Amino acid sequence: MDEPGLNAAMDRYACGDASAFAVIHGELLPRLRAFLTRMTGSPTLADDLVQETFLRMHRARATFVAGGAVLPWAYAIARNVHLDHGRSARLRKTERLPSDPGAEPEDPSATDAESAAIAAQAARTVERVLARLPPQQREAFVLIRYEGMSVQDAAAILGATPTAVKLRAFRAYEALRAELAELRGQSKGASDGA
Amino acid sequence: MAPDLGDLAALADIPDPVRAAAPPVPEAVAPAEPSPTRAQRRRRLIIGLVLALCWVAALTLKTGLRPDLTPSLLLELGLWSVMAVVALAVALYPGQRGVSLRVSLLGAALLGLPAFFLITALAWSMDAPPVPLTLATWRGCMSLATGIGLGPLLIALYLFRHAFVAAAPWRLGLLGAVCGLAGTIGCQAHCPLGQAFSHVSLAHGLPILIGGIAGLAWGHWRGRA
Repeated sequence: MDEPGLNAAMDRYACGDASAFAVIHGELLPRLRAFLTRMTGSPTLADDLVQETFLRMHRARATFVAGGAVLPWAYAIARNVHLDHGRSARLRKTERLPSDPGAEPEDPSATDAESAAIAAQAARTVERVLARLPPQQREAFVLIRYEGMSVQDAAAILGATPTAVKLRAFRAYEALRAELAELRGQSKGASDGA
Repeated sequence: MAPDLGDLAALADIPDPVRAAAPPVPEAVAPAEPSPTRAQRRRRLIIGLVLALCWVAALTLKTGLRPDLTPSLLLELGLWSVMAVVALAVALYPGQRGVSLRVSLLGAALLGLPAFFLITALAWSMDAPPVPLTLATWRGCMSLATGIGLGPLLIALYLFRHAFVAAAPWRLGLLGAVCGLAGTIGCQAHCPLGQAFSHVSLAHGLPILIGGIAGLAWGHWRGRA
């Protein structure tokens, strides 16, 4: 569904049409799940936070203004859920369960075992560096690079100026690029040695 | 070397670690928990606004209007009222995409409101006779202004809990400052002690600061949707 159609569905939901929820849920669930997985590094935790996000969207549906855009609105709520979870988690130590594999997807575009291994290693590196980044840089980078948000929308979601958001995303990019360059150098060195 | 912030296309170099096929999306129904619709919320906001205005008007009239309510003084009160309406609109305006105005604008409004109050209070105090800054003169006006502003503040904090998806502390801080300004206007319409800057800015104007801080704190704690 295109963005205007999704906005119209949210508009109907804000006016009390409960049947529009299925449309919104179907369209937003994969995006919010991916966003929260990137933010938390854990698909299991992300699933819990996605449920909380939809509940908060339901509670706050009346605040969705006519003519507004549902994507930045929903991402802003998901970010709030993530922030609140982070605050409450500070008091308790959380660990990944053995059954939670984390975000280590396979790359379906890989054509052979070597390239699959390199892609998986790159993905793990990105995941590791993202987790190490300051949260402000991580969320700016994730929103712009992976969620396809404009700088203006990301700034509105994060409650920051567009310049600040650009700078945060750029710093995250620099950190990731440096790590990936090092990884590529190691891979090249290993293949040259062999 | 300073980064080139004009072009973020280079960000596409970084691979996406969560690119695997997403699990199927299950069928979903709306949560059973009741939540207000847009029309119900609009009705609540109108009722809240009317109640807040009634509170300010009732307390101001009950304590009595000052005898020297000249056109010049009415102009000052009118300017403050216009400023309150503008600040209210800035706090509630959702922006073009329905999330929030820029934080820089909200911050400017939050600082601009007390600045505007102080400048107008200074301008209107030029020829005013001094008022001794004693606890007796300060406490009465401060209590009255805070009392008048407290009603709208409590209504706003109740109505706007979990109401803002972004920039909640800034927007609730601005709303709190507007409620404080309502108390200041009510007190200024009543106070027979005169227009001295020290008295007006401290005894009448302090609720703006109190309301702003209360709104900021509530926004951090309970403001985010």
